[in-house]
Amino acid sequence: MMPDELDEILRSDKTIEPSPGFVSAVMRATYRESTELPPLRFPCPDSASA
Amino acid sequence: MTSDDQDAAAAARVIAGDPGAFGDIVQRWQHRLVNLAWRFCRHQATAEDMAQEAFLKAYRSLGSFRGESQFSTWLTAVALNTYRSRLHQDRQPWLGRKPVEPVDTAPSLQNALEQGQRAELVRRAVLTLPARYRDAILMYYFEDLDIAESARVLGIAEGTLKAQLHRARELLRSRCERLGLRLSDLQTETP
Repeated sequence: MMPDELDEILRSDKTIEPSPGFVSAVMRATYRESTELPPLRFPCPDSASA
Repeated sequence: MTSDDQDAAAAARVIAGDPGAFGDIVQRWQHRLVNLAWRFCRHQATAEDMAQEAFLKAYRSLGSFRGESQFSTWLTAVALNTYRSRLHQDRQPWLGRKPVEPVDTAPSLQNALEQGQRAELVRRAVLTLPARYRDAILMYYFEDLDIAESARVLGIAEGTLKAQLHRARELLRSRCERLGLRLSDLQTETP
């Protein structure tokens, strides 16, 4: 097994195309997430000094 | 406007309360995240599921992106950590699936199919390496990332990555030989 051949095999791996609905599916999940997540909390003076 | 500027602008809009702006980021980076996931699992539906999980993690932690690295490096590191966790949880059940058996065809095509299958076995053998060697190989050969960027994504020093790559290649050669695969018999697939 020659190192160059190994390099060639690993380098020549195929690429795949994301499905046409992939971006929509991610954005649906993102919107769901954004409505479920509580608002961002900022440190309040009381908890910072505790 | 560079890709990094576009990402920074989209991230700022998301943080300001516009989740729809995240779509720009997903659109721009879907190919990279899905293909990186594919290298970890060799299965399209699983790769897309893993990539979606990585995007959601990135969405949740956008506020932690400080611009100290390129956005693409940060996002790829988030994805890598997501995929590592996923492999650890799932124990890679999809890897048991055999590559498609060659059909009865002309000798030249049959030979090409067999060589393609054997190259695929080598790539799957990468996934059986210890995690640090597997990750080193997958990142370094992914989209021709150079040593410096691969090391940044992995969060290790360049020298450490070079040593891991050297050891990973040795292990991989040894595993392939145990499987009866001599790389000198292999031709690479036509892209």
